Amino acid sequence: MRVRRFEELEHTADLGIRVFGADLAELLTSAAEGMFSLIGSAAFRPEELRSLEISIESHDPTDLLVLWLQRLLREFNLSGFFLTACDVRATPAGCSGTVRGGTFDPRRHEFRSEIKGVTFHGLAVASIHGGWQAQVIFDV
Amino acid sequence: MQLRQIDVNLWEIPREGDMRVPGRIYASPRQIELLRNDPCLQQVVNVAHLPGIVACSLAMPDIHWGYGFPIGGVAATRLENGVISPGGVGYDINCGVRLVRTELLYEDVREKIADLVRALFASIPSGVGAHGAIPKLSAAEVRRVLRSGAAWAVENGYGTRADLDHTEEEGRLETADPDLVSETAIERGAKQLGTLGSGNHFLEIDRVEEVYLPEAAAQCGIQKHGIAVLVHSGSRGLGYQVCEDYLGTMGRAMERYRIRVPDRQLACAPIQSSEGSAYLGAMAAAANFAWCNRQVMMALAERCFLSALGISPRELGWRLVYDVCHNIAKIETHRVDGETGSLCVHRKGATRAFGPERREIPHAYRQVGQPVLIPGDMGRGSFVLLGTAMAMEKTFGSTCHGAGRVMSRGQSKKASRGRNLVEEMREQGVSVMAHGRDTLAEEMPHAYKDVAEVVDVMEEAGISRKLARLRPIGVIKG
Repeated sequence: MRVRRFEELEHTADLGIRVFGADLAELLTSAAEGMFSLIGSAAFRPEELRSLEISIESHDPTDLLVLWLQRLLREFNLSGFFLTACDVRATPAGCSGTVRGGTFDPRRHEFRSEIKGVTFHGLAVASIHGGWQAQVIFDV
Repeated sequence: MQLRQIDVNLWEIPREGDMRVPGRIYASPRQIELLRNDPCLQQVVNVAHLPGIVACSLAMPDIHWGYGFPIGGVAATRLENGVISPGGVGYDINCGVRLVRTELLYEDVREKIADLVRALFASIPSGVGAHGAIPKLSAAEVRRVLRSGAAWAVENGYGTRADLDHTEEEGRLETADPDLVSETAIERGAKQLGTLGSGNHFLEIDRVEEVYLPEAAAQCGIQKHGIAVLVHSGSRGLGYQVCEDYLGTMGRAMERYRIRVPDRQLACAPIQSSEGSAYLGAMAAAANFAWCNRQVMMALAERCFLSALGISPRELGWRLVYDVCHNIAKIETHRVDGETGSLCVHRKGATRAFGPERREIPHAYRQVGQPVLIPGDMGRGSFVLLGTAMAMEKTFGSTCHGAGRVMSRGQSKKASRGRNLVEEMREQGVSVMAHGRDTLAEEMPHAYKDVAEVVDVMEEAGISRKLARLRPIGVIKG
């Protein structure tokens, strides 16, 4: 059975997700997947894929989540990088990892929504029984 | 939360706790009942905590839940001891609207609307990943855009100098400082000049359905059954990045200035601080990008009309009526408690609506008041209003900005399921093209308040006067 990793939240003007993970690293992965699912969907041939190394410094899980998503969104906006896989580790200083993906092409791939920013509105990150949970709202 | 009625369409949340001023919401009795348990009222209360806020924390009748400020929020702060908050402007700095009038009547274009919409859709990139009609600019050229605003577009062949006279601030805030805009923001803007954006951004062809003030409408060049074009867009990725950059800056600065706010998205800094003045300069630069963006798209749309209809510029009679912004913070002169002074007026999802005789509005409109453009939804249409002296007195010269959403995007998509939305709109007389899979479903008329009700509240309160009603007949969306 596929473990639920994220779900869309109701918000009047914007878009949000609630994300889940067994640990902080999985939470960050779920959040990345959730954000990109709001942007659209894309499949790439193996030769189209590229990797990015990302390190984020923050001791606060809430800030870490926002900075992580902002970084990924920046990569999408600057170079069209659309995430397909994520291997991230939580570190004492924040997080570090490798993300893989391809260049989003609106002529081939399905575009859903333009995300303007990752907001702090209603932001919540919590360690709960058996895992982590967070909610993030995006300005669209 | 207490809510008491102080006028027919005006409600007050009395000052309590750490609120520095009361909250005031313009809404009909019916609208306020729907809002009573809505989180947006708490946001009105939160804004009332901002240091240096003057008179009241205002909300217009299209109020809905935003972040930090509600959408539809207006707040003015003193320059000497007040703050500026990027959350009071929004991510899309200078998101705004411009209205173009033409000599065409509905009958001239009725059979050609679908062709026009296709031409516009092809010429004006709108969706994500879209590049501008203008090839990628160098960083230096982007900085020129940030300094010059709409004038850059005119100097490069998009429109005429006369357009600048009919643009708020003549399409350029002088306080813009491109050096305060990050390299990331510059890079995001480099490929996006001349793009519409997505979500609720649009370019539409309208038919003037109703004229309420014929003399004033004639001065604006608006005639019943005439064809007009409305463009709704903003500063694109450049503006979003400026907002993100300065939310971070402000968040870090607040500790130093010992500012506490109830909501992190109200991050702010004293206007006179280095952080505050830096944000003002960067925000102004982003605002200039947005004016340039709308100027370029207007010129591209004109070319589409000329080409698709095979008519001359004289026959088309394309002229900018006005361009307004509805996400901005500006230093303006207002009279409060009998004293005239400069204030920083935040309008987040609210539009400037200056009354007659104000020197800030074009000479052509000084007798009637500033035109205000209020986009509704693609089914029920939009309004053109005029600002009033009452607005100067009650709302820092501000009015509503649109219809305001009543449904989340998810709810709207559910309500749209199984329906052929393009066909539905076509049966209503609207030819629509959109890039995003979910755009139409999220932006259907059922997702929005009735803009007529919003506008009526403002008119009954004396804040704005209805000039004309526009009905869309062709729409492109991202």
